[in-house]
Amino acid sequence: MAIAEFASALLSIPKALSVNAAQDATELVAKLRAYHNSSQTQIEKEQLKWFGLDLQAGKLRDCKASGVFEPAVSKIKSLKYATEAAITILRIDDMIKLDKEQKKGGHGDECM
Amino acid sequence: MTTGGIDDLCLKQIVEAGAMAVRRCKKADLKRIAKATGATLLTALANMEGEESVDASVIGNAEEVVQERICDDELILIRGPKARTAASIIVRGANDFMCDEIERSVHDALCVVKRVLESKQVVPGGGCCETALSIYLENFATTVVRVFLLSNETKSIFA
Repeated sequence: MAIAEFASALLSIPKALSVNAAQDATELVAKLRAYHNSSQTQIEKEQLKWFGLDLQAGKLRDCKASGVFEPAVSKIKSLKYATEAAITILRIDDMIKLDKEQKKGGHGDECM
Repeated sequence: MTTGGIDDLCLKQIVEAGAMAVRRCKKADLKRIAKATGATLLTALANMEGEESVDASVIGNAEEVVQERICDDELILIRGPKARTAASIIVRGANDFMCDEIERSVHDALCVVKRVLESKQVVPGGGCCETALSIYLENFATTVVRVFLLSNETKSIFA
């Protein structure tokens, strides 16, 4: 369950990328998932594992062939720290509730 | 090149010799130029004997030094420094905000290159890595659940 949720959380990255480029996020991410799924299940389609988003054309492309790379250290570190941050938030199981401040006078900020 | 000014008297000598002199440079710029051309920054011309002299070894080398006009600004370009290769990037844009944005982008890009050269490892970009990991973990998650259920069943059988 937790692993599956982590997996679906990872998909928010390609989704955010395609939304930022004003492309159809649902379609692109679904396609990308289909490509990677077949690359990992079928040996003859192993080459599909290099596929990533081409956001200027709104398509998928072979990132290895077109030379789109990221530094591995930054990828590993960002995944690590994102997980750490999530764990830190989940570890907090206390809630401190403050009573609402008493209203004084009539000219307080109503929007608060 | 100097951070200070050059007196007219000295300027005349330099012009007559057909040389180029640059005054009121930034010290940070001079330090960088000195590094690139193999020159040494001199704080004074005085030597140990109390006289003025310049040793030939303190002079740097470059293929070409020219003054060029780029968008209302006179720039002095030093091309092909001898000691080590260095490069300046001239950022041009519609307004200051655009230039700032370009500068930040270039800075980010250079940081990425730096990171890659440090670790010499890359992964394919464009959300490729995340999707592959996501699919792998999804498949892995199903196997974990299966093992977990199986062990519960076996427990109930053997209990």
